[in-house]
Amino acid sequence: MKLLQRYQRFVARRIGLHQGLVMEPDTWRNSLFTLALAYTFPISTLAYLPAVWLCIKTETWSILVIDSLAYALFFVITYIRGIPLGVRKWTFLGIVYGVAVFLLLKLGILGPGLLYLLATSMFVIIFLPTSYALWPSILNLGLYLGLSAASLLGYWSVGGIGPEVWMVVASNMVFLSFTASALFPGVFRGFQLAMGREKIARARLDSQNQQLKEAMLTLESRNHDLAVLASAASHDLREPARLIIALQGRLLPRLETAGDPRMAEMVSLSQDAARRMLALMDDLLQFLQMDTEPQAPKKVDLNSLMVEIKHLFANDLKSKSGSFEWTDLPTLTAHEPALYRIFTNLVGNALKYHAPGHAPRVMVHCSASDNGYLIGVQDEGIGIPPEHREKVFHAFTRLHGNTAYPGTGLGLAIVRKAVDLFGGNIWVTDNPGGQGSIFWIALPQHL
Amino acid sequence: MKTVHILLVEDNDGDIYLTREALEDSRIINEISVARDGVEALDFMFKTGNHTQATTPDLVLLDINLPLKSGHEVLETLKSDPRTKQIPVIMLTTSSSESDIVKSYAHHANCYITKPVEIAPFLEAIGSIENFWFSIVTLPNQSPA
Repeated sequence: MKLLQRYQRFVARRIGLHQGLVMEPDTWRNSLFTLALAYTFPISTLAYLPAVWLCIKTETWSILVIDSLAYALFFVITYIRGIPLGVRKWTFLGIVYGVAVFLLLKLGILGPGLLYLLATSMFVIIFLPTSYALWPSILNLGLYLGLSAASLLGYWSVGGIGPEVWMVVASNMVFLSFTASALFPGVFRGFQLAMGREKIARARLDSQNQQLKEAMLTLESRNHDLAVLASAASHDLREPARLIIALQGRLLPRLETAGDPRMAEMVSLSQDAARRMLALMDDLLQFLQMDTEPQAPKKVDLNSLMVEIKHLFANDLKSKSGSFEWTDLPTLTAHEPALYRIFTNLVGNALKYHAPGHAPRVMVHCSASDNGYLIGVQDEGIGIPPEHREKVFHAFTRLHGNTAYPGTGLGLAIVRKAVDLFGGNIWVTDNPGGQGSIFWIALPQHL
Repeated sequence: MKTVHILLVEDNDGDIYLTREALEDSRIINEISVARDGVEALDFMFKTGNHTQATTPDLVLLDINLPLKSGHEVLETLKSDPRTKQIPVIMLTTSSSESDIVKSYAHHANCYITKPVEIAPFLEAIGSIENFWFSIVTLPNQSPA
């Protein structure tokens, strides 16, 4: 099998066709032509040698000359380099047609002439573009009509067969020839159409792939920029802010002892500004890095997490005489830093936004269902007007000035992003048990 | 009373100023040298380049973000050279990133301190460094390298 394929490739190279298996109608025609050439010469030897023997024996020299000529031409168009493809094709068709007509005239309908005429129709349909499909059939029809007339008028008679027999047999050949001319181009057209569609689909797919690739590249470079920003925020941007705070902290007591309270106040204010800048950078960094940090899920007992958070806010709770409680909370398998962010921000907010004159009371509760958990963080604070309840989760949304309630405007955006990463939902409602709000977090069973 | 000499490797004027003030408040430290980049720090430690007359310090305070050679590179060189590896190196830096911390200890930093943001804890940290390394800890006797 391999040998045959190598032989086919050899012939393809000889006749100057180097295409691979690109399935275009023309290249398909060419590859079929290559196949026909590759096998015609060796196989025609099988027909040629007995014919030579028979011709010499019966001394029919004209057949010997025509057969030898055809045989030699097949050799030339199959193995000799540098002949244009069209010439090869037309020569091939010419040989078959010539041999057919010659054999028909010489041997009549009992010889292989009619068969070759039919074969020529097939070859034309296969090797030449569809527009040539009808040519051989018309030629065959002409030949049929001409020879019929010649035989009726007595100019042509071979083997003692009368014109009726010729007309009956040859008309079948013409019929088959026309059938082939009508049928096969249809097959080719269908084939061509299917390939055209495939080509369009492939081109569309290619362009979509290309767009996708470009989008990925853009995304990659954005992610790289983000990583650079994150690293800058954690080192280079922090350093100047920290220095401002520290140096002014050194300056402040000197101004105070120098008895310049206004100057001291200005320094203190600019120190506050630098502190806010530092807090903003920390929050922004968290917000940006959250979805790129590696997730390391582990079992987290929310009750223990609350103990930790209560400890974190111990000073705040004490100074505001607040309370922070929780009822039986579940153990979740989740990325702990994300859970920690969610609850420190929500509890921190509940303590921060307490109503003046009203001690903050924060309560965390949870109900479990088949779909997952519904956790509520409830406060008795100043509440959030209904029209702002969606907006508060957007980055840099602040409902209060820095003097009343300092903050970066990123806390709830961080919470929402963490909940999103868990595949959950977060929203806020009024606290029906009194003033303030409840932040609801719906988390799926499996995070 | 023996003399105590600290090398501060820091490129930031503000930090140099603050650290110097904090150190000068104490009566322990007699001499503070400053190297402003990683290459200068190594020149100072190995008495090469512009620092052939340098005296070997008793302690190195090393920042990480430095020009020419990072604090990590300086640390690695100091801790892999027999002439300098016994000198305590304290990483004193703005970074609190886990990778910086892990890398520093992997290269045998004697300790890692993230610079406190507020001035009081900052001064306290520097004071604690002095107190710990020069009053509590016993260091090997420096022989001129």
